[in-house]
Amino acid sequence: MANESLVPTICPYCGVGCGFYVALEDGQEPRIEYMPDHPVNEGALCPKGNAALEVLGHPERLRHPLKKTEDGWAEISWEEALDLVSEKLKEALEAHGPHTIGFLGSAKVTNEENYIFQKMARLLGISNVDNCARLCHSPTIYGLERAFGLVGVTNPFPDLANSRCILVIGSNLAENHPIVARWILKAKDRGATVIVVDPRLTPTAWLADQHLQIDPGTDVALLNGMMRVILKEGLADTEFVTRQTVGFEDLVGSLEEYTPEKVAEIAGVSAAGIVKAARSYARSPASSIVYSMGITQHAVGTDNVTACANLALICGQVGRPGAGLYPLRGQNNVQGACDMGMLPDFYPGGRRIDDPGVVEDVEEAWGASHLPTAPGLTAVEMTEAAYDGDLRILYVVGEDPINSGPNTDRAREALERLEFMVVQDIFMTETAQMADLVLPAALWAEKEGTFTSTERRVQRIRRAADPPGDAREDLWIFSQVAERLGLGFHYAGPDDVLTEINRVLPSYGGVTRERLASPGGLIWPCPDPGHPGTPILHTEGFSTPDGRGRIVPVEYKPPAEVTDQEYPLVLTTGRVVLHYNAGSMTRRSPSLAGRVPELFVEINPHDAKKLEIEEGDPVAVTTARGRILARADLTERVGPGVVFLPFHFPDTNRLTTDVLDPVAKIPEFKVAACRIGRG
Amino acid sequence: MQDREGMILSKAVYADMSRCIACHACEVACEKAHGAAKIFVDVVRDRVSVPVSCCQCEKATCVMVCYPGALSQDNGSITFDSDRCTGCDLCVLACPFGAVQLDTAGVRRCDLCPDREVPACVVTCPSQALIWDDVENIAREIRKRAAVKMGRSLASGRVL
Amino acid sequence: MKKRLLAVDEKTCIGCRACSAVCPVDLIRLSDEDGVRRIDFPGICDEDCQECARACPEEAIDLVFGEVQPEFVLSFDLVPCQRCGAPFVTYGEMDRLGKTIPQELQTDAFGASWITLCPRCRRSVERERAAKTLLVSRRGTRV
Repeated sequence: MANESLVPTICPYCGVGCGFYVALEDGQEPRIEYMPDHPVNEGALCPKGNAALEVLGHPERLRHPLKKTEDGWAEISWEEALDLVSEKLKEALEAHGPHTIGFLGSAKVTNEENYIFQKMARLLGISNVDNCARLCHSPTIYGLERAFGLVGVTNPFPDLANSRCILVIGSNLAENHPIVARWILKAKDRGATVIVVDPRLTPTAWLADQHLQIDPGTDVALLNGMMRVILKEGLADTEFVTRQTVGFEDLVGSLEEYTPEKVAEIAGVSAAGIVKAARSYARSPASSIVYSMGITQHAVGTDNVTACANLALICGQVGRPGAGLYPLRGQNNVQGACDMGMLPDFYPGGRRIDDPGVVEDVEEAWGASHLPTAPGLTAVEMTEAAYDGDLRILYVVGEDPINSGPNTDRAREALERLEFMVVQDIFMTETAQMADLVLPAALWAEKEGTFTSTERRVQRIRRAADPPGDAREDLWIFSQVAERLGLGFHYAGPDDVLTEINRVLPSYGGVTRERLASPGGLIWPCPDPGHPGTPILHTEGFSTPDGRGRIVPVEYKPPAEVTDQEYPLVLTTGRVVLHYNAGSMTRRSPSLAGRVPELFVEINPHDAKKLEIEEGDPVAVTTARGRILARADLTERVGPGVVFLPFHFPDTNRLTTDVLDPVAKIPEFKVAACRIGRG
Repeated sequence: MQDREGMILSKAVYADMSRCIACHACEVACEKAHGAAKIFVDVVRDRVSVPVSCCQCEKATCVMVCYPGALSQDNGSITFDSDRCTGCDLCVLACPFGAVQLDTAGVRRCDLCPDREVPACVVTCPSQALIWDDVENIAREIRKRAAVKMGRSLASGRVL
Repeated sequence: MKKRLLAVDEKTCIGCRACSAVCPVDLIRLSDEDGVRRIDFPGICDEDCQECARACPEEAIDLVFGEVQPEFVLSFDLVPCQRCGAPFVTYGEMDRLGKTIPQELQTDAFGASWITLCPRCRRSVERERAAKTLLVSRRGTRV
């Protein structure tokens, strides 16, 4: 087409990392053009990808720095806004110390921006840094770090097509990562068996040869049950176990009581189904496990991840083409934010903060001294500390903890107690409304940088539009604040930061700007400029100090909250294909919001009949934390006794519990006890 | 009703329902390309998702009832001329599949994206449920997929 | 004084949407309510325009000069969909469809008439039929 230019970019929604072009034509609105030569999505896009540009010139975009005054929001200059942030930080540092300050980075902003943000925090002595990975995949971080020594999807998505058995557990990927369904279907075309474990009859379950509709929160029991079958029937890969793992003997002893019959009773599925699934997974020449927040968002999230890793390890189903473990991550750059050290206990490159050698390395790289040597608070713990008055200042970038965190009403109360909160975002989110200062940020299509997808694939984004009004790139904002705090940041732009990342993060050593020019980028570890990247991990042993995978027995524990007479139904939460996380973008996207405009609750027709509820009725959903209204959706997607709420609308998390996994500190979003009544 | 086997179109969009995951990407892509969606995805009994759009009938009843000649059929392909459309609604009422809609912009029915090499709904489909190909190739592809499925059921029988 | 008037032949008008859709100044208004289609016509029309008359499939509209007449309304009962009961088509429209579409095309491959179903139900029926085999096989995967 005439005068048209195509700017290659990466989708800003989930962690799959699909490529597309922003097509720019004189006098026309920017539009999407498909990218058939992208190795992951091959041109395809889910509905959110197709609608990605709808937020670009949205009238509700933040355009000016806003300061809260008695008369409401006042537009102020950047000068004044940046001075205010730095003064507040300085005051708190001097008067109360760095432990009273928290930085919430963002899985939505670039690697370069997260790197700079956490560097700024740590140079100031602040170790309370975290990002939304806490709420989605923190159990993956701790579980896989322990099991494999490295956190990330082990194999690329196209390699799923080489699997002969795919076990999908706690992932509704057909809705939340639709492009992954493409690769699962390609595997099916080649004859693969697909097993889906989910309490709901999701579109993902439609693809299954076998759907194990377990009761919410019984994953460990099921996985242990499968492992027991595998051991009893001699289906374990003993050669792999001996050569590549430690801890097998402990596991054998721990599984004795998980008989198919007992597990069937706990999980609400048939014993024969458990046996069949175990055999399919263990016997196939190459099996993969795909999991997501149905595994992680539990008080036993880390145990769930560990059980998945155990299963892969005893069957030797990892470290080969078609044999891998896929924790599907939700945000476009959640892998990158974690890689960059936007976590309270890790410096960039997934290196532990309490390892003196690591601290020394980072101090040398940054030319700094006295960097934090102990983990800080996690996201949910920061909210708790704010409630107790121990946290005074919170700097939030591109996150909406009020909507995305658990137990909203209490979180709101906690944030109200803060002395000062600054929120940097593209829209006035619920959290931003509570801030003292709001900074307008540029969104992905308005800046340059890199994202790391859930495949560990580092890809470039390019500027295709100007930010609206006075909105600025996050990197510019951070640099300005850092300069006012005397940190001496002199980065000319994202490329400068990437060069430092190449130097500081061993696994990103060869991920240079020049090498990211073609579709598909590079998959880390990529230690030097001549390295081709590492699509499949653990081919030559694991990344643990002795190169062996860790098998760690885990026991089944029931969910923290169980049903009783007052709250007889199990409430589980999740996502729908047309919306995204807290919904600040998709609820403003007409082609998406128009199709799912309001909160609904899925109820099994059997339960609805007893409750005298009809399709479309407004109903009240109540838990120990609160009561909300939603439209009843009578459907067999949920079994009797279970109800489902999507969490893209503000009310859902008013109901969820803030009981945390003891290791990963993730709240149990997936199970609560509730009751339903007429609205 | 005319079955689709009688089509004389060289190319067509085929929907393999066993792959459709009800993601609505085709609808949104179509909406982006044409201002309003001309393909409609809905789920039957919580288990099967079926996309419906114009299937380019060989004996197109929508064309037969279009007295001003806004819809015309030439060599199998159905075209729409908005200048001739009166907005009478008869084409909507004459479609056996309910795949034609009418709004202020005129008749909404799939035109197979004449400006694109491959229709937008097909390119965007994450699960490759929509196929754009020669009719003969489609028939071959369907047979191939059916054969794989049959093989699979035998294979899964062996697993037990 | 003589004015330009709209003359509509009630016997031939089938109650379709053409005249109301083409009128450039929105003088002809159509509404469907409680199973009845109502078309409001103006008594006079001073526009230099023949759109409605030209658009009418039944040539039921004439623009003539005559004594001023008041606005008038034509009402048409709507036929309910045989599946969901929602009224969706006038008898006149149905009649015209029946005459225009060859008899053999008015029923589907199973001999059932689709013409008496509303477009929404036609989609549903098509979907249900298409989904049948898959529904059976997918019911069998749960364990």
